This record gives sequence, C-alpha cells and structure tokens, in this order.
Amino acid sequence: MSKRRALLAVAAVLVLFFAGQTPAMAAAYVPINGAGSTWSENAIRQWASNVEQYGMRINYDGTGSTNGRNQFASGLTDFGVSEIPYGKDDGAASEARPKFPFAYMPIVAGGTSFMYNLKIGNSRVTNLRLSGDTLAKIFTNVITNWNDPAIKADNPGLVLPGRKIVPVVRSDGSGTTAQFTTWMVNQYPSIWNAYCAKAGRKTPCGVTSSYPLVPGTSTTAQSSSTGVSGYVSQDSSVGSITYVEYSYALNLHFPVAKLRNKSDYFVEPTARSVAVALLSAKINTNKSSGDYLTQDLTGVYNSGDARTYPLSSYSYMLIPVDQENTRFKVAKGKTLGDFSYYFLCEGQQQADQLGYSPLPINLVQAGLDQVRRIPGVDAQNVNIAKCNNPTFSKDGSNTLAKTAPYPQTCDKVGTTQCATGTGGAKANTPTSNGGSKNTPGTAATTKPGANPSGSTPTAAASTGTGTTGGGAAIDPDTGQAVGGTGGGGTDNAAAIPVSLSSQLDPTLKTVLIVVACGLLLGLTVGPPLVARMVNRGGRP
Amino acid sequence: MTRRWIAALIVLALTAIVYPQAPARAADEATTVSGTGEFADLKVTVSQTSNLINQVVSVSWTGGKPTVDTSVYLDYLQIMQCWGDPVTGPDRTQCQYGALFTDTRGGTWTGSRQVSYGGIFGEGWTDPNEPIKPAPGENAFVPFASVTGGTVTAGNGGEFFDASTTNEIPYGRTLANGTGQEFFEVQTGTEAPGLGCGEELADGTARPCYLVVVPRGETEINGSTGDKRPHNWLDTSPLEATNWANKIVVPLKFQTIGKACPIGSAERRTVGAEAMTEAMLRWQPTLCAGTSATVYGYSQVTDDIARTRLAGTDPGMIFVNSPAAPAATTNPQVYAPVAVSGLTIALNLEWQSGFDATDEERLREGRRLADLKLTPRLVAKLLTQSYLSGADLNRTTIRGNPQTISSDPEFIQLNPDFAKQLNLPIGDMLVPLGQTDLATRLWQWILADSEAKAFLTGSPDPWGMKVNPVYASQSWPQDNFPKSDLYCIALRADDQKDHDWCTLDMHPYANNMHDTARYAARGDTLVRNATSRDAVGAVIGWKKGAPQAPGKRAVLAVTDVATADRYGLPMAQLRNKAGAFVAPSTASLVAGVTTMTQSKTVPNVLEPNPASTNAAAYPLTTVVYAGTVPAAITAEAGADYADLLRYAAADGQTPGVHPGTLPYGYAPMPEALRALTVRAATQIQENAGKVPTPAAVATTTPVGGGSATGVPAPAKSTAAAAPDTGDKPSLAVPAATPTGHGSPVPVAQTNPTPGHPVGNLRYALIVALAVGLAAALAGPIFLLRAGRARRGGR
Repeated sequence: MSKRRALLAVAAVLVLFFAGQTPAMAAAYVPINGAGSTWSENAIRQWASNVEQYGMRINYDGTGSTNGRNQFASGLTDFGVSEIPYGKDDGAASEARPKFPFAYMPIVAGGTSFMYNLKIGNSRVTNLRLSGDTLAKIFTNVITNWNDPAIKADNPGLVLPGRKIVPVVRSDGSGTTAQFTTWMVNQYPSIWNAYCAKAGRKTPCGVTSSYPLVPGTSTTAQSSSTGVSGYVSQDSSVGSITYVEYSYALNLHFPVAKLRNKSDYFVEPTARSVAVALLSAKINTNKSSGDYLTQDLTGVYNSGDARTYPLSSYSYMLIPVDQENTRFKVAKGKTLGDFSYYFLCEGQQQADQLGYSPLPINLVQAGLDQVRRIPGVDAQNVNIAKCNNPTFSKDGSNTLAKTAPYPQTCDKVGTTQCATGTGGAKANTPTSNGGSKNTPGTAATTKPGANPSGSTPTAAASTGTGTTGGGAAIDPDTGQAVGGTGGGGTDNAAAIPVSLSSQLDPTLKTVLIVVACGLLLGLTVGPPLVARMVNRGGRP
Repeated sequence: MTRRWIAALIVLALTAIVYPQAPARAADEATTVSGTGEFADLKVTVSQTSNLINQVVSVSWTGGKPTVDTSVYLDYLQIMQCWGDPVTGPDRTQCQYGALFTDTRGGTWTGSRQVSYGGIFGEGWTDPNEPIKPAPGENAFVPFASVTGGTVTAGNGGEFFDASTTNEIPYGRTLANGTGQEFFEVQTGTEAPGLGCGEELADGTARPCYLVVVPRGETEINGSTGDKRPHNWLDTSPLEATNWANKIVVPLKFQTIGKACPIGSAERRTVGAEAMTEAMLRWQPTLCAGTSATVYGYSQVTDDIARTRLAGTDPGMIFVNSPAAPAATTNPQVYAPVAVSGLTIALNLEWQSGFDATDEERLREGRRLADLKLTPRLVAKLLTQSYLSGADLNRTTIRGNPQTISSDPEFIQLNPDFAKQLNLPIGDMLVPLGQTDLATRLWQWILADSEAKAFLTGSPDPWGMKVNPVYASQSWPQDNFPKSDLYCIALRADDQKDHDWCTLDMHPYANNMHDTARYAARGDTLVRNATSRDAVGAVIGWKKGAPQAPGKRAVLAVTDVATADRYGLPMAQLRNKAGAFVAPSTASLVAGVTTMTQSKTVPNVLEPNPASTNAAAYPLTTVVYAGTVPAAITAEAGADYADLLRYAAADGQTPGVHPGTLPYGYAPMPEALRALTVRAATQIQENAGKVPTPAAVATTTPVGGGSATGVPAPAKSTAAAAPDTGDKPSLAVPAATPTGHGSPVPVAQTNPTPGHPVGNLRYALIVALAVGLAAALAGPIFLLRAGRARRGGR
C-alpha cells in the first residue's frame, strides 16, 4: 500500500512537472447545448465527442425536430436542429419563432430511408425495390399486403409472402415525418390527401410533423428514431416498414428499400447517391428571405440523374446571429463558431461512415457565411481554404457526386432484380443457395421458367409418394405455385411462402377424418349390432 | 512457428505478473471539515481534494440531522463548487449555484440565487444580515461573478452555466442514522469556464477552487421554525447571507488543465465499437501532443460496421471486440490488442424498507446498494420481458410469472436483503439499440449455462416461471438486445381519453451504452408515460416521464465497465462457469483474459471461452482489438496508427483520471498482450502502403448498390459463434412432416410463424384417434373374451 502510494506520489509529481511545462492554453471554451432532430442525432453526437479533444463541451439532446425548434425559440438551448424551417408544416400557424435574429445553417445530408423487416421463408429479404407511388400507397394503407401486384411489379425477382404490411410511423413531432410528407405532398398529392381525409385532417393536407393515423389500420406509431427502428428490427416485426435516417438501418444491420427515381432506376440512399441528388436541390439564396438557405427539394425528387436517391435532404442547425440575445453571449459564440467550422469541414469526413452524406461545397460555403455571423465567433478560424471536406475538389465540383457509380442494369425497372443487400444488411437475398446469413433448407424452391399451374391440393393428395423432379414448388396450403414467373436467371430470388402455422398433410387430414367418422359410427351403431349377432349366435 | 512463439509468450505472461493494479483512488488524501454552530456535529468528508481533474468525488458526512422527507424537505445539505481568493476563500458570488431553481423539493427558492421573498416573512421584513435589498416590486438575486471578469445579475448562470452543465447538488439528503453521501462531479475550467479551476496561473500553478456545503436545518432566516412559518418548510437560498454564514468550505487543488489539441488540422480517422470509446476519448488530447502532432478522429460505430470498413477500400483503423473472418481474397489484416474491458450490468438501487424491515434496517433507507448477484437465468429473464413488469402487469401470455425481479424466489434466494425491501419495480433493464459483439457474448454466457438455456428455450424454472413465449421460438445467440413482445395497451392520458401505450413506450431503448448508464445514474428508465401534446394542445401520444425520486431509485442498465465507472455506478456480480459470483474489477477482468483461447483463424487474437471454469474470471470480459489492412493504407497513415498502438501499449495503460491515462473500468493489459501490440505497430508501419502480391491489387471501384465502399460485409469470425454445447432451440427447427404422404410435385417448405409455435400438439389428434380406434376394437374383444371365460367357467 505504502509502496503504491509512493509510486503514485512520484507519478503525480511527474504529471505536475510536465504539466508545468505546457504553455498557457487559449481561453477555455464555454460549454453549449442544443436539442432537436433525431434524424441527425447520430452525426451530431459523434462530432460532439470528437471535439472534446479540442476542449469543447457540446451537449445535444435528440428530442425531435419540433421540440428542437420550440426549445430554441423559447431560449432554452443555444442551438436547435431541425429538418424543416419554422412555419413549414401544418402546425405553422401556432408555431413560436425566436424573437431574436437567427439563421439556418445546413449541417449534414442524408437519405430518409425505408427500413423494413421482411422474410421469405427463413431468409431475410435485403433487395426490396419500391416505386414512389407504391411507397406512398403503403404508408397510406392503400396497399396492405406484401404480395400486392404493385410490389410484385417492382420486384420481379421476389415472390413475396401474403403477409400484412405494418407501416411504422413516428408518434412524436418529427422532422423525418415532415421530410417524408413533403415528398408525398409534392409527388403524390391525391394519395396523400385521400389518406388525410380518412384520418380526419383538413384537405388538401400539407406537410406535417405528426403523422396522421387512421384507426383500425395496421399502421403503428412509435416515438423517436430509435423507437421506429427498434420496432422494425424485432424478430416479431416481420412485415413492418418505417422511414428513418439511413444510419439507423446501418447500426441495426437492416436493409432499406431501393427507391425508384425518375430515370427508372431503383437506388439505395448511400452517401454518393444522396450527394448526386442534392446537386439538384434548389437552395433559397435570397439573403433577405426569412428562409434563406432552406431547401426546395422538388428538383431532387424529379432529378433525372440515374444515380439519384429521390428522398435526399439535409438538416439545419438553428443558430443565433448578428447580436447577443438574453441567453446567447459572445463567450458561447466562440464555441459554437469553432464547433460549426469543425463539423462543416473535418466532421464531414465521418459522414459516410455514420450513414450520412457529406455536405457539398456550395452548402458548406453558405454555411460558413452563417458561421461568420455568430456573435463572438473567432472569424479568422473560419477559412474555407483549410476546410477538409471530402466533397471538395480542385475544380469546384463535388468529388463524391463525380465519382458516384452508375447503378447496375439489374437495378433498372424491368424483369430483372439485383440480389445485392442494402443498408446494414449486406447479405444477398438468396437465390437457390443463399448468402452467408441464410439458413439452409431453401433448396426446394423455384427453378426459373417452370410452369406448374393447375396443381390442386386434391391432385397432390391422390398421387402418393412420388416426387417429380424439375417441377416448381407448390404451396401446401393454397396449392398455388410458388416461385418466379420466369425472367431473370440468377437474379430471380427463390421464395418460400409463410403459412400461419405448420399444418398436417392434406392426405393425412382426409384419412384422419375417415377414421374419426368410422370410429364414431362404429362405436354408436356397432355395439347393438354386435350384441344382436352375439345373442343370435349364442342361442341354441 | 510465430504462432507458437506468440502462444508461449501469452501463456508465460498471463500467468506471470500483471501490470501494477489500478492505484487506490483515495490516494489523494480525503479531507474532513466540521460545521459550526447549530451544525457543529456535522463532519463532511470529501474523498479527494488534490490533484483533481474533471472527475467524480464522494462527499459524505456524519452527524447530520435526518432529512425530513414528507412533502418538502427539511434538514439537508446544499453542495456547490466555487472559485475564490486563495487566502480568504470563496465569496458567495463566486459559486456555481442556482441553475436548478425549478427543483423545489427543498422549498420555493432554496434552489435559486434569489434573496427576495415577497411578504412571506412579514410585510417589509428584510434580513438585517443581507446586504442585497430588493428594489420595490422587483426581485433581488446574488449575482454570479465569473473568474473571467463578467458578472451575471439575472439570477442565473448566464453564459457560464445552466441546468445542463452545472454540478450543483441542491438537496443532499441525510439518512436516518445521520450519515449521507453524494457523488459530486468536480469541474475544471473546461466544463465550468466561469470558475476556471485548474487553469494555469501566472506563476505556473493551477487555479485552486472550493467545494462549499451549506447545511440547512429547520430554522428560517427570521428565526422561525415549524408551524410559526407560513408552511412547515424552508424557502430561502443557501446564498442568502444568514444561510451562507453556516457554510463548510473544503479547498480543492487541481492539476493544470492539459493543453487541448489545435483545432483545424486534418484528423487521422479511426472508427470503433463502444467498448473502446471511453479510452479513446481519454487518449485523444494526449495523442495530439505526441511527436507527430497527429490529431486522431474517432467515430463510434457498431462492430459490424467497423468490420465492413476494414474490408473496404479505406480501412483506416478500426476497434472491434471480435475480428473479421479472414478471407483469402483480401489483403492481410493486422490486429493488435488495445484494451481490456467488459460488458456489465450497472445498478442504481436504493434501499427502500419493506413492512418487515427492522428498525436497524430502516436506517438504511435511501442508501445506494452496491451488491447484487445475478445468474445467467436471472439475466435471461430480465432481457426477455418475462417478468410481468418487463411487459405489463396484465400481460396474459406470461400470466403467473413473478411481477418483478424481487418477487422471484430465485432472486431472493441469492439476494436475501431484498426480502426486507419493498418490491423493486424492476422487470427489465435499460439496453442499447443495435448490433454489438458484446450482446453476442452476453447471450453466449447465458447459453453456456444449462439452466439458463433451458429457460430461454421454453422450459419453466423450478418455481414455474416461463420465458415470454415470443422469445422461446427465437434463435440464439443474437447480436443485439431484442424487445420482441410488441403490443399496445390502452392508457389514460391527461385528456382523460385512452391512448395506445406500446411496448417501446413502456420499455424504450437507449441509443447506446453511454446512454443506458447515464440514464440509469439519473434513475431514469426512459419510460414514456407523460402526455405529449402538439402545438395546439391536442394529445398526440406519449413522451418521457420524470425520473425516479432520489432515495427511491431502482434501475439496471446493460453497459460497458468503463462507462458504468464513469457514472459511478456499482456493478452486478455475475455467476461464471465455476459457479462463483464475480463483479468486474482489474483482477477479475485480467483473470477473464487468461481464460481466453488463441483464435485458430486470426493470428494474435484471443477469443472468449464460455466453458472455462476459472472461478476468479469475470465472464463477460472482452479484449478490444485494433485492426487495419497495411496494404490498403498510406505509409503516413501506417506511421500514425503505429504511434497510436505504441501509445496504447505503454502510457495508455496507466490507470488514472487525467488526459492520456486509462479510464477506470478498463484493466491494464497484461504484458504479453502489450508485446503483441508493439509488434503489430512495427508490422503496420513497415508494410503500410506496400502491396504484398499483385493479385490482391484488384480493388477497382465497384459498380452500383451495396455499401458506400461497395464491399459486402465480411462474415463475423465464426469461432465466436454459439458454443454448441447442446441441442438447438427445438422450435427453430422446422417440424418434420409425417412420412408416407408425399406429393407429386415438390412441396414448398413451410415455416412455422415465429411466436405462434404449435409444436407436437398438432399430432395430438392422430394420437387420440389411434388410441380411440385401439380402444374401440379392444373393448368388445375383451368383453367377448370375458364372456367366453365366464361361460367356460360355468
């Protein structure tokens, strides 16, 4: 013990000695805190932990965009984070805005992705593709079953089970909901308005942060991004689909749907496809507008680039500018300024890894202009020349967008479908002999081109034990053929239908019924008959 | 040959001396200071008062009057940190206090800086001791004077501190035996720039600060007690002159705050699993001060994402609990051990006397409990919504199961203390969302225990408790913490209407293990049971409710050892294969490392061995490995990563609280592992940027889908998969169909829907009919025979 103490004393002295050699540090950073979006929470919290080494303390609370805007307006936080500006959703009329000057600063881009939990037999589907209208209909309860012809048309290589679709939406005020509904309002107003009317909302129904629910449907509402993604990721949630930022699907290693863009390619929300999409974003560059730097995504939704993920967007930080307010003083401005410079430049290096997309140079530049307006900012640190953003290139173009690969031909609308996994589920969706994550036993499956129409359960029951080779699989419950309708070679994923519980063989069922009837008959009618026979025989 | 050498080295060193254990944390002398006057018996002890850094210290006391805890408290301690003159001590304007003024558990203004009280002490009465007098019709506050020169007069901390940054403890409660204890976060100038503690002064020393305790009794500033006041509780601020006069001052000496890294330079990227985060955050500020001045960036990701990155075109450096399975097609991967940690179940439990408690036991009321023994089966019960309060009390599928852990005979047998307490409201634990190798390890530990495995797969425990049927049909181990029994019940909201209240409202996930520990430390189960309204006041669902009250906390959290330690949480003792109950400690973690076996597929890597019967070993020990692909990184990156590994093998293994040390909770790596780390560093530095064989260069940009780097996820090393010690969960195997009744075409395989297993029940009909048939035939035969026999006997 005393030895240990002595050691420690020596260590302490050494530490003090070395510490004494270090020059006086620059003025300490004042801690700041913010709240809001869970869409961008995964990125913000990473940045906050990384700047600890620069002596900064940033606290962030993922409470949802609506709450983030409210708290910032009420002066409860130093910054807010939201996917939509003030006054853009249906709560606009009653939404309080900050009474002090503030600005929108883009912070991180990403794809609002559609994470789903779907199995064919025991194999997880990882290559689902959806058209925009199919997706809109799924989330408005028009399409309610995974074997719907519309989904089938999007997925020629999959034979999806007749399972109920459970759309999982956000129950709290959410910027992700706002982003998704902005897209529906813009692209599929009639589908969206019809749903809103059913849910008892005013029509035409605009952008909303709180998703409307129609009682009696299979839609379920969960709170926060962890809630919806956590719900979908459960074993018992097969059949569910939700909208959430891509990073959540990555962390849970779940797949996301490839979405059809205007060039008729189905595209995944990777960093690159989002970067390409945002090239078409129209940014409000009118500095006198209250919505300066906010986004108009119509161009993104309609982008003709084959590499575009149509539901791409970026989120904003709400920052106080131009002057101190009752809460925000210059001491905090230094922290917020340096933190912002960090995440707009160096911090974007992490974006891809975390499931986001780095901001392109035009947004970074505009963002840095806003950073310079923060009261108390150390403006000389805000230097675009030193900005280590991965999208920057010498000729000013977006490196990521430039190097983004074009989609494979099997991703094009048509009769084929790529087998490659998506999101956090990289395993291929099994064809005949599955990816690494698949359980064996999917061998009794489709051979392309087979045509087993006409088989019925009775036919199956009557012909005994023979097993015909080469025939296509038959669903034992419905007697329907299971499998592809021809088409795409190895792209044609094999499928096993899910039945509600394993049942007895139909032949056996018939036999059992006969036996049961015979027994009943025999036991009721039998004894008197036998008795009479016995009596007759017994009489002399 | 090398492998043999390595194995020999490991065996030698693991059995030999382990690096000197974590030094006792109390080494920096505790200080005890007594109160004065009314509080002369009060003795306050601060566990560490010199060499301080941003850390948590214990503030304990004896000789206090027990806190009266009816509606509003009487008799409590108010604790705060102040700066001040090194000779004369702190002035009340120099204290970080008043940010939690909305907490009125101790009185109306007791959490604030306010020194005006309207007319409650009589119209026009002011405290003669108090120099600050309110202007007519206005409130007066004790201003806050920052060490940087600014003054905030508005009654709050202004830009210097607020409710989310302050470390003040407005109500430290004294237990029935006159003692009390609080855990106080000491802040440096980085966390509390208004105090500037630890900042380097002109003479090169670090600025000292003070911990101030203002004890509160039952007397108010006008001398009134009890019912002689408008109400029988306190109202005034501890900064009020009369109250401030009772203060107990403990000087705090700090280490000089380390220099922060220079902002603006490009970071060398690393990504890693959460078990590495605490160490990396601690090392970062020191690493950038190294010879190469490299700043290292760190992103916390899941083990799976890290492994995916390693297989991509830009592997960088990753930190994982289990290595990726080696593939012949990729460039060689190099792994190096960097930290020894573990997964733990952290506790925030406070004694709440039950009806049977003795008077002596009642003295423990509200005290934090540090001992809890858990078997693999108890952990399985807590992780599978099998207690009623882990789902909801009326859940029919688990009817008959105990309501909470403390009504479970298995738990009470192991933890008899809890029989004397009120039923703990614990039916589950706070768990992180998403993939982690440590979850796999936890499930493997459960599966390695035969009784836990039997429970998990559907067999009842000896007291008849059965697993929630939703889980019985799942396949184990999983690499996350499922909450699979998803359903909703109706709950009455503030609008007096029923709203759907669902599983993830009752039992929400935490974002990660940092959050599980953080919320557990606050007594927050994250339950969403408060009515949530939209902007126009309509009820839209549920939001997070209030945390549990101090003294009545009961939360368990699954987290990593270092994070649990960061929040000062005690950790459960888990039963290992030898039958011993072991909590994580340096010794038990190192013993855990010794039980591991050399990986057969990945050189330099140890794998857990759930079958080991070392009684001293902590069963959920993990070794975190750094990994990279030298051929796929630049020479500069290789040199930087080598520097990082060398630091990790040397200074990074010295336990402590200051920058650059190993956070408590990690065990210093045994010497043999460090040798491997240093060797790997050399290997990485030498081979970085050099392509080993031309064949392996074919890393063209992939086309289309897949990950951003276009590389499929490597399969996890299979050696880490389930120990095949017994039969698989029976229901995971597709039921065999009866033979003899084939079909003309191959029948597609059907799979039982998970969650609704029918099992062999479906054959009951066949069996019943067969028996019936036999009986129907046998009956008359017997009758006939009997008849014949009778006739024959005549």
